[in-house]
Amino acid sequence: MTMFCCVFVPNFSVQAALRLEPNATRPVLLQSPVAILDGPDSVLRVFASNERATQLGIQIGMTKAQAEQCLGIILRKRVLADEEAAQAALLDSTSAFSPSVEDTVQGAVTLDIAGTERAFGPPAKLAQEIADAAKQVGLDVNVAVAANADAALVAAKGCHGIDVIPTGGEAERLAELPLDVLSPTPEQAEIFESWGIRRCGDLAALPAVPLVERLGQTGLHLQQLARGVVVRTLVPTVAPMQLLESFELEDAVTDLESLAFILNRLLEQLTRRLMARTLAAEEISLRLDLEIHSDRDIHKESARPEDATFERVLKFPVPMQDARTLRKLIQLDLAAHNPSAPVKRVTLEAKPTRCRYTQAGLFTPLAPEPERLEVTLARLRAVVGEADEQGRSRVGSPELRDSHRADNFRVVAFNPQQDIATAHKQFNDTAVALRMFRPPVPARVRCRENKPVSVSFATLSANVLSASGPWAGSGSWWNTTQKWQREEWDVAAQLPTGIGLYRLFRDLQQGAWFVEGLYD
Amino acid sequence: MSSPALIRAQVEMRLASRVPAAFAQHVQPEKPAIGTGIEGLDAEIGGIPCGAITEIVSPTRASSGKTSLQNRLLACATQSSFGALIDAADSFDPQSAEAAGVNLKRLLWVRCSATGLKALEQAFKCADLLIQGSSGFRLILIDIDDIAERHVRKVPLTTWFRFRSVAERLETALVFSTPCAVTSTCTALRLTLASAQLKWSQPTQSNATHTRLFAGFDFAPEAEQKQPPKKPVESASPVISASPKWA
Repeated sequence: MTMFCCVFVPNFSVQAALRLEPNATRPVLLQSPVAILDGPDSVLRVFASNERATQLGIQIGMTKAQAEQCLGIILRKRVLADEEAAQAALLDSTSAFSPSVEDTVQGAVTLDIAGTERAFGPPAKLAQEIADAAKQVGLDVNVAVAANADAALVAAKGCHGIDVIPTGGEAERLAELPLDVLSPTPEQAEIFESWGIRRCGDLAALPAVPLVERLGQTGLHLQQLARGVVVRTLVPTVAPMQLLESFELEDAVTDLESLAFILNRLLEQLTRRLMARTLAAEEISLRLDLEIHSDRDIHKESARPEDATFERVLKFPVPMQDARTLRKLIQLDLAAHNPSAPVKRVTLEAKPTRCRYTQAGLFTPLAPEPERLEVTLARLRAVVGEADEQGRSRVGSPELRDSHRADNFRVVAFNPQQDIATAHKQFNDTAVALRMFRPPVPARVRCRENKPVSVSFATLSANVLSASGPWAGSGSWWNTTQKWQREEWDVAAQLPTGIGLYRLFRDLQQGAWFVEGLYD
Repeated sequence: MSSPALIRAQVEMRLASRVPAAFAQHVQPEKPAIGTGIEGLDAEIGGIPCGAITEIVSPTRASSGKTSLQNRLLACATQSSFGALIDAADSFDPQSAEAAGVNLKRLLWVRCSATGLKALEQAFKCADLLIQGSSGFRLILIDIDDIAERHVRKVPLTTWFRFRSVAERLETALVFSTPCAVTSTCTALRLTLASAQLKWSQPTQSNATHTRLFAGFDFAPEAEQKQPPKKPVESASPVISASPKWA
């Protein structure tokens, strides 16, 4: 037996505009008169409004000036990206309940829920769960369940809350709904009004043949909709999933604290959408649209288009779902890389991946918690900096390069999760360590018979007690910029605090002496 | 029943609802220790204690074996768990560490970017972040040995007390490598190193420098272990040898 569930967002444009408001203020705003304006800035007109605004006299097509006459009206400019994000969020929140979800129209999705009783219980319970899931992504929805998709859509448009129509009872349930739920064209609506037909039941009772003679096949289709007998095949959505949320600020912000509130709202929505699909983010792209004032660089040429946006991409070693952790990471990244101008729009996009499932083994070492560790690493980077002069990271795990060049290593991201299968290394309890001087310290070395006899560097000056060398080394001779050639010496020098055994080298290209480190 | 015992029983009875055992002495649970990889030293001190501060004191600029000892500690810690090194002077050599058996993939290396007092400040901030931000590190080694002694002595005693109290709640060994003894009573173990005895493959009087090789050194850490009250302070100083990979 087929069964369809339609999720409809009343006043979709209004809800899309208010979706990213904080949870505390959004219900208050939804109860207030809100109108959405659209069109060019010079001739903004009311595009949509909620019931409260309609009760106060707001009509579609009013100018902004006319709408402002209404006391207490909240006016918002229509942002198509907000509506697209709201529709995507609606799809995300419902996709957990059925594999067949149709993106029916803007503000409505239809699910094929046949056979889901064993997983989610009776249709009424399922409808309630769907409504709760939609509320999590900031949308108040009507949910209707019926034996065919179009009857469910019509019922969802007309009901308040949840409506489950028993099979065969569609016509009876739809009869009391106003004709608007069938979305007739203005011409059709005018004709029905002139006939005195205001409810679906009235239309359903008309004889079919005279109706076709007057309104054509479209009229008949409307009548079948009103009777709840239209049968069609559901077209499940196959569009690529785009987890994108954006927020346009009325006034551009300059400080990171203000931006943190916006980021929090966007990330909460993104993570809820991810959780609805049982996914996590492996990468977050942040795009900030900046407000570049044209009169700022009056003597220069016009600003290049790429200057108006600021983009950062954060890649995580483990998939993450926690909005708080993600916000902290973005905040720390923004603190290190400040946008150069006030921000007027924030866009966040998550690259989804499967959630991390770990099964701790008996012999697996206790590793730092990945989410907390990532925040700690970001904070450490904020303290010590991102990288040194050679571009090597200042926080991470060292990795040796296959080279004879001294002090040749790179620093890779510290990721305990990748280390589960690392074999134990052989333990060497007699190895001498070298304490590096980075960069090598220039030294003055006095030689006698080509052997160092005294060395002075930094604030130290000492006679050489014993020397070993020279040990010649060279490499990268094929590369003019990276080739190196040197002679190494190990020299023991008498210092006030004891004997120091230093590694010196003479750069044969520069002809200069350096101290590379201390054997310690 | 004697009067102090009676009073104690009465007080405990009154406070029983709020404080289960008002006069009970808080006994610190036994915490594990990390081996140093040096049999003689481990036999004497029982390893580097977790949940406490250990201080390695050595003279600056002279070869004393402190870095070799640090590498051995890191090697032991990264054999079975994870270690972190906060390197105030950016002087860690990954090549010799790997030769000593350090599992570099299990090592978090934080390289401070400043010098002098600023580097010390960075190192302490990083230590704070690591201790409080994430558990799971068996060893956190803070190497401030190359910072001038005058700067290290400026660190207030309250800082060490704070580190001690935080460390007590963790299963992490907190090791500071310092140019002078500064942690005072906050340290559970202090290893003091003197200048090491160098060894050469040939007598130093020989003129043929290219045939003479550095063959390693002997160093003798003097351990001063602070035991729980009422126990005498113990000290030990085993001799340890280290040699380069070519010797």
